[in-house]
Amino acid sequence: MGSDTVVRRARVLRYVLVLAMLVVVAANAWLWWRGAGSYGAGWIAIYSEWPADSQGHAWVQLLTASLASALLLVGLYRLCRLMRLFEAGEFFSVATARHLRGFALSLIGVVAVNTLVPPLLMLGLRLAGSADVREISLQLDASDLWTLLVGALFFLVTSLMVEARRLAEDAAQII
Amino acid sequence: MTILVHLDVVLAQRKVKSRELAAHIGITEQNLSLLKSGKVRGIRFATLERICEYLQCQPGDLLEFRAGGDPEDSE
Repeated sequence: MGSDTVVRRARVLRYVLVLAMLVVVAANAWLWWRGAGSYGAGWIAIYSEWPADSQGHAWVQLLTASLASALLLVGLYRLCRLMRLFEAGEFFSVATARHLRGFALSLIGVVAVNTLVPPLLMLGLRLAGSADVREISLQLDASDLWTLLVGALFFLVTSLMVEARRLAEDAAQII
Repeated sequence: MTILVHLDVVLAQRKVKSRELAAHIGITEQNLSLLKSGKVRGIRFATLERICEYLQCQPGDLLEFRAGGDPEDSE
């Protein structure tokens, strides 16, 4: 695969990422406008799934979704910056590894927010004396585990990129 | 520095210009200058072989090990 092909693919992927960021923003705006739940509008549907114990506390669900989406947006933005670097021909620079690590961190952060924020908020409500909070549960489903796995994998790829860069620098200093 | 490079001395003794040697080895003058000043991490056997061939010398004429130096200084 030639350098031109990589540059072209990076550009296409960057456009797709920008589109994904817009979709994330639009979906959040829709959820805030209509409240948490499942909605259909013609051919498109927005479905949000929440822990059973947070039912009846729409703001908990919306706040969690917004925090997770904000982290996801940061991650996607870092990925966009990474694609820009690829387009400029920087494949193993320090900045490249930093952006990929940032994306991996955001993925792990999204899982952490989705898992920890609802029970923490419900616990806060319970401690504040809210009577309708009867149970607090910590939920981690298969998609969360997959996301964590992908995040960890990107961390590994990042460390490989750093090592590759070090080896390339070493090789350049051998005459 | 633990390993000293005497390439500049041998070049002067043989009255050979850096440009000629760099052209024979197939490296840039800039890289040859780095090699002369010892600011490289290593030298390939192929490069050493071409230098010795052109200057009619032994690797020991170009390189010297001096005990007591800090290896990190050479980097």
